[in-house]
Amino acid sequence: MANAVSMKISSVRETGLDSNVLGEMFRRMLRIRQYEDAVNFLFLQGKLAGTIHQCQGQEAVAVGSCIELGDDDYITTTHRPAGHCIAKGMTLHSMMAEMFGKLEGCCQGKGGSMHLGDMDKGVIPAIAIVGAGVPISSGVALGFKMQKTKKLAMAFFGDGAVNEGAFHEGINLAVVWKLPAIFICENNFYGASTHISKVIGTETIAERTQSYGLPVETLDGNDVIAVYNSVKKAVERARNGEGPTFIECQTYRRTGHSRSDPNKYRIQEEEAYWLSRDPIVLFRKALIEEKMLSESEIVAIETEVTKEVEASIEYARACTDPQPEDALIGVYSDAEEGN
Amino acid sequence: MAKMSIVEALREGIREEMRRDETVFCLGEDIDVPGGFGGAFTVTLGLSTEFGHERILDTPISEAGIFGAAIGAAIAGMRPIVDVQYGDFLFCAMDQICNQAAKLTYMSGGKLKIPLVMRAPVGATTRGAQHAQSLEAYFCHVPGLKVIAPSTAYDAKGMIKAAIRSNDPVLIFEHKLLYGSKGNRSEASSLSPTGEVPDEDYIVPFGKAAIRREGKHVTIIAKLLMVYKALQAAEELAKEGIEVEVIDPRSLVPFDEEALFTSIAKTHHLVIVEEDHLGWGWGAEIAALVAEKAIYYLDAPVKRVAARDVPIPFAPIMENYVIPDAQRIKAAVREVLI
Amino acid sequence: MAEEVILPSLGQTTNELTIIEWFKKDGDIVKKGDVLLEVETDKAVVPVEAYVEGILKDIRHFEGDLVEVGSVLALIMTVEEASGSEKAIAVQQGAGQDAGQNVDQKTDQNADSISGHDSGKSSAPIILSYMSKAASSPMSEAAGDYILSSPLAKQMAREQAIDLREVQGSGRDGVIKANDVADYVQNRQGQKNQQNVLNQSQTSKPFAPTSDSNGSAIGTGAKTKLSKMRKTIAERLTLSKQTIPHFYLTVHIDVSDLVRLREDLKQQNVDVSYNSFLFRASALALFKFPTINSSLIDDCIVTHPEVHIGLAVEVEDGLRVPVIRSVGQKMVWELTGILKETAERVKEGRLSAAESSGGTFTISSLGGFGIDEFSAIINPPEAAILAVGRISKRVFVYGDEVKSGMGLSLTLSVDHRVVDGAMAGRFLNEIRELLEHPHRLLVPSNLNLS
Repeated sequence: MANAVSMKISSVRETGLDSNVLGEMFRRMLRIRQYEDAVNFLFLQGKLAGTIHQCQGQEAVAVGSCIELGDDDYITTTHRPAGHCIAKGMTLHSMMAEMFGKLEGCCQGKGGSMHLGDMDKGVIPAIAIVGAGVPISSGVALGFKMQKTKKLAMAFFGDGAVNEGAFHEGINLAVVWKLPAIFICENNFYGASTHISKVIGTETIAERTQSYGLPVETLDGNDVIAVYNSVKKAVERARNGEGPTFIECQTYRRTGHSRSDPNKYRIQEEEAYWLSRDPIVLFRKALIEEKMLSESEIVAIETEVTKEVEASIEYARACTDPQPEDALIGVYSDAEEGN
Repeated sequence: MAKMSIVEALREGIREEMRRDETVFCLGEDIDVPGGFGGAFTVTLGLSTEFGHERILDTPISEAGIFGAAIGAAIAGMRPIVDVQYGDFLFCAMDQICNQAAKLTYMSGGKLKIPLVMRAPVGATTRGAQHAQSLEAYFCHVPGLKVIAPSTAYDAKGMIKAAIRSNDPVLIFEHKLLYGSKGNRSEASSLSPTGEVPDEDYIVPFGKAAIRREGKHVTIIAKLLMVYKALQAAEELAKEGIEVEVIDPRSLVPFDEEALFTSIAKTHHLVIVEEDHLGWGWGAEIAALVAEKAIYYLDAPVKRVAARDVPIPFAPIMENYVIPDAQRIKAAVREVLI
Repeated sequence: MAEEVILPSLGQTTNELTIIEWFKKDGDIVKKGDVLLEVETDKAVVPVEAYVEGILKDIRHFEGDLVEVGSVLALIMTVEEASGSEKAIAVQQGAGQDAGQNVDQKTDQNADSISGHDSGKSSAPIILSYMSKAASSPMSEAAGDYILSSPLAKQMAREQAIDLREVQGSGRDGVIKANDVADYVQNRQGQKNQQNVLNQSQTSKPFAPTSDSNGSAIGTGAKTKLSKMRKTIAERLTLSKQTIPHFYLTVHIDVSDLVRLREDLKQQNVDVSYNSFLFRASALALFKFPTINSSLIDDCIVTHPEVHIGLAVEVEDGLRVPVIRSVGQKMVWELTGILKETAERVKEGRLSAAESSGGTFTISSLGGFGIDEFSAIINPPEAAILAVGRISKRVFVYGDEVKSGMGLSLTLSVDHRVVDGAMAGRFLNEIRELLEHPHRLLVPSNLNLS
């Protein structure tokens, strides 16, 4: 269970960010929420194939982590990737087209909901094997370090991933090679339907991870500014060659694990507590209270995002269906050598 | 031109590519620790003298970690060469190889390149069940991987250079008994297939088989060590008047179907030899390819000679029984000719 | 350019064949597939056919000649060549060295097309284009009676419009192989021709021509040259007795149950021969004691994975040993049919060379001649032969009890270099056990050593 958290979040003004950046953060959080809600609705309507793993409620972690990153910093994400993709700057058009299985989709219809990604925005196609992105992220950081760049790699993963061997192996490599890597653990308390208290022996994930020899922090993942402040320090460390950082962001998904999850396993008090602390509502309130954005500016953003999401659906529907044989292309990069 | 063992040829290929392209680097367990043995079979021995430990990177014993890291580095624009000490350890990195390396290019809609070389020594050398397997078939089965298995020094250098230049993940299987009998890490019953290796830059492209011996009665397709066992069998059968053609595919994926079909169009008989297990394996795939595409060339059922379907035992008497030898190959050849 | 008629290799064990008869004479017009002559191998009389159209010229070897395989027997010329044939022949002979090379190349090509045990002559080069044709049902399948044949044989049959039901398979399990189709093409031509010759003249009976004179010559002391077949028998059996240290074991078996079983089946209109029970019993025992099913070759005991049993059959001028393949996979009633059909073909001289080779064990029966028991000479390179006497009423002692019943004596001749007495004894007792409990021989079992 999370520490007691008030309805307030960290000071928006003290970040030193200007209202444009803060407005963009708010816009991206809202985009994530509305995109996910729209996808859910399209699913209920039977318009989309496959399954969905949604992240409503976790927007603050994604946006707070990504706002300091450039397009050439790479992230790895998971089977629940939409928040990270949007936070990292991917367009709703390319994501929605992918959800519809269209050629214009970010993966040309070959990825789907669990593999969204776009290298132009530094998003490695989402890795839907729990924990597997962690060593890959370390490897990206290794490559960046060998190339003597200031670029960094950030891995997103859930509380479920921290019991995977790949997590431990990946973190350890980042530490022993002092890599420019940031590990963001989105602790939403449930691996599918299993509560974290049943699968990990320490109070926090951070305290267990600390033993690998890197700075760790546990924070309120519904406080976008808290996430931002922590990641900002980690980014500085990484860019200065000081090695990796682990940040545990406690948060909560407002939906089931996946499309078919009835969500019946929640602890009622816990759920009530977290639902009362919607990260978007908290951020909106703080922006207005600290007078960084006016109510009308915020409403304007809300209206724009709604239109943007609608437009992405229009666009995706009009996109091109692949030919069945398109399935055979793109297995290898060296086309002439593929068989 | 220089006479080289396969170990030397591999090392030379890696050295040349590391000189040519500074994104090429090696990572693996014990690959060039000062005073160490330069990888389990000395392939990377001494490379750090020229390239430093930044590019010859010794790793923890952490296969999932280092294969994941190699993939990540490839994504970041490097050309990593990652190895395991024994092919058997590939299983520890199975997710990274088969779910990640093999699929990321495709999942990205072709936008992401994974230029990655993975090296794995295979073959039974009286070390028991977990340091003995021949794992080629597991990986040939995964679309998105290329799989090569050089059996000569010339091919070893030319193919590892081609692998390093490939923009796709390539698994290179090296046979422990073919590395060469020199050095303190060599195996007791090693063959020494040393061969002329050109000094100049050359590559052996993937997807082209080599005909190691010509013959008109029976085609044997064999890989790695079994190429040599097949050649031994062919030599002995020649004394009985049976002329065997031996094909070494070298590149398993992509596979040179044409070379195989051309050969059986001539001989009408096929024996498939491998050190991997018999059941549901590489040999089965070769047989199925022939059944689907070239069955009218055949005048007799195909025969497979492979490791018997048990874990590889330690005792030499049992190991020799499980692993194919020239006697079993000869018996199979005679059988298809009945 | 004149084409050479070459004496093909016909799967025989010696390198020389005897010409029995020419059916065409110098100057005759021949068509592709016409039988030109017949030669005798140590196993069969085999026709040699023309593989091009033209005029037969320059016959170089004649009836009764012993000719080396690969020799040029004659030439087939075009009309133009034949009209200036003297010149043409001179040219051919002048180019002797070249012609010799051609011969070699031709035999090589033949070996190519059927690789392994070539019986020579593929009539036309087999042009294969893989997947050029859809894998349509072969004719034999259309009949609803599936014929086992190799894919290559199937392709050849399709190309040459041959009904595979008519082709005898020489491969394992009787599978029809490429050389069987080639044999068939040749034999079909041969038989047609033979029939024509018989109709024309009663004197030119091509099969075993020496036996008539042989019969009449006995009392007079006249010399008769050994026929090719007799010569082969003489050579092989001498070799066997001289090189193989034989030893012999005999058992007397109470086969009353077997006789009753056979009679009972007969009542049910199922006629099953004693030989087929013996074949089945031998196969089961050979699988149990694979050392008996082996050959000594170059200091190695080669154990055969399959059981192919030869049956010694008397013919007019000697002995033939057709081999029944993969006996272990055949049931008793199947064996009855196969043995009957094979015996008929032996008597008609229709046994192909391939059908007489590749045995791993032999059964010889003289029961039909009223012989109680005898010992046989091993047929090399096999390791044993089973001599079967007649079934007759005998007395058996069980404990203190004396019973009469039907008895059979079996004598096993064994190559002592390969098999010792104890092993041979166990093997022979296994056969006894099976024949005394004949219902076991009716149980289906898919026998496979590997």
